Amino acid sequence: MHKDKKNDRYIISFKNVTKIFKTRKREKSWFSREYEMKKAVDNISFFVRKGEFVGLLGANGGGKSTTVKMLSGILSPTEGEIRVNGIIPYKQRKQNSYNIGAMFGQRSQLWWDLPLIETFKILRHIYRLSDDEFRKNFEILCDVLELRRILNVPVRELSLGQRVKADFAAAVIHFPPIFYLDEPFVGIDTLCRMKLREFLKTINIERKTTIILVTHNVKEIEGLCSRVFLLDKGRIVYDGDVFDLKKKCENYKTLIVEFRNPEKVSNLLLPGASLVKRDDNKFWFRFKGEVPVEIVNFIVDSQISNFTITEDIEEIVASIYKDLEEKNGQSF
Amino acid sequence: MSQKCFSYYLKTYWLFLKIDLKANMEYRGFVIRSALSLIKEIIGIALIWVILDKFHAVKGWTIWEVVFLYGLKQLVVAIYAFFFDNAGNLDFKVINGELDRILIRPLNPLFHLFAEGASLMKGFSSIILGPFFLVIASYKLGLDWTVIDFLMLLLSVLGGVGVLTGVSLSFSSIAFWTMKSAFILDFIFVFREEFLNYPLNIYGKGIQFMLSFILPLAFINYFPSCFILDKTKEVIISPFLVYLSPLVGILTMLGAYQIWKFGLKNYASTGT
Repeated sequence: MHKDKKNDRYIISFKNVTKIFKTRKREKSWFSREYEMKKAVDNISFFVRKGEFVGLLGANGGGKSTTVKMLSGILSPTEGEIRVNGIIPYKQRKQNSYNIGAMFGQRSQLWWDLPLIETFKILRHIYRLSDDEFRKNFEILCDVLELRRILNVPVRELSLGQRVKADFAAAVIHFPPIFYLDEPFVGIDTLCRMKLREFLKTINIERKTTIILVTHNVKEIEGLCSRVFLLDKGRIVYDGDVFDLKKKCENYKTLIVEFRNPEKVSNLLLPGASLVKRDDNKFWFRFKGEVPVEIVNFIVDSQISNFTITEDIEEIVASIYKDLEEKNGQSF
Repeated sequence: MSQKCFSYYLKTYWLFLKIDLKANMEYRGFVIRSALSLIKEIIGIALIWVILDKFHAVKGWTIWEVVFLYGLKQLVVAIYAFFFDNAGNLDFKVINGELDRILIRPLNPLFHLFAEGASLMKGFSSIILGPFFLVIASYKLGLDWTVIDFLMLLLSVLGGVGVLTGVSLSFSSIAFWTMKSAFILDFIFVFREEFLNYPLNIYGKGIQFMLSFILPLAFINYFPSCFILDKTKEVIISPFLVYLSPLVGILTMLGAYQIWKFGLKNYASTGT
């Protein structure tokens, strides 16, 4: 009894969830029945309070999308218990759908051939919104996402940015208490991205909408999410503050340089950085903290065709593992 | 409550049909495409006519009886295309992720699938010419229509739609396990388009048996036509089969719905 009360505080509870996919081994003969078990999600637990803005971060194949699909009720967990707004999503899909809005990547739910307004008309009917409700929600969305000018334009004639804005509106036309977004910003220009981020912030603060934003890019959750989960190989390796994670990111950076004549630099040593990977004339160096002067000099002196400095997810995951090892004195 | 629910779903269907019609009219050539589909239909019957004209009758079926058979098939196919066309398009929906979107909408997923594919355009020519062929054949054959005949035909048409939808959905549901099922549906389509144009008794016993009991497509037009045209004696196994289209339609649909539900469950656990 007491335990149930405690769980009620959470709008999303994800308890000891495991998801195993069975895939047929490809290289074997067509008729063989050998399967490979892949743990996409490996005994994950997390709890989200109403109004939290959570970033789900991780490299490809980390289990992010599987997690969101289970939260949406599209997939069922192999083991564990999921509750979203008091409902088991995959068992009560219909009730769950009123509680959630979802955007899966660049998959659009707009009617391609028709003026944008038609999509909203049919969605009003599908979500059984009353005229008043619909008008109120629609007006707000049109204002914030600047849709009014394009309502009568066929969707196929919209720019990508306009289309994604419209898709955001379509996903939350019923003003659900929960909004899932899986890589929603891919390929969108900066201005539009800022607008969409502003929109997410607004519904998060003003409507207490609980938001889960899935991304592989740390920059996208900065300034938005109050909390971050970092997923790697189906497990949560970090659950906490964005600022702390940001600090970890700053710890390690990777410098990728492309040389014109790699022969000349075969035995390359850079003070303050270590060579971690090499692929033909492309070199990966890892270093800590600020960009060392030696590296700047090196870049100026060498015949380099291209260089980038990144803070990629793998690096962050690696540094988190390292921290954990140091803390626990055991391998993770 | 359930009546309210029913009218809600009916209205949803209507909205999807309307939105599809609007989308079709957005493109130029709406009239030309409609005209072409009518011409295609007429070529279809003309080809059969040419063949039959050489023989006058096949296995006791006169030309106008075959026209009746053809008209009945077209009518069933037209209704199927109006409302249930997506029964055969599941693999496409699975592959491009549209099924995921259907699963997070507050509608019955199978209904949503059907409604989304509903199109007045797809069966447009058949819905005009199917009944036209039925009427003209019936006139030429001098058929006497009783209320029972008419009622039986009506129920058989619905049964035929059930058979076609059920068979398509059953095989389409293979997509839940393998992603690909389109090639199997092409196969069924060939059966539908080639075998059903002629009376079943021109084929060997094996094919007759298969089209009656394995892929029960013969219940779409052959068995009901045998009833209306008074050809119950030539039917394989039992003359009683001519009455069974409505029942077979219901059974095929129920079976297909179970397969669909089972497939959906598998999809949720494997995500293929």
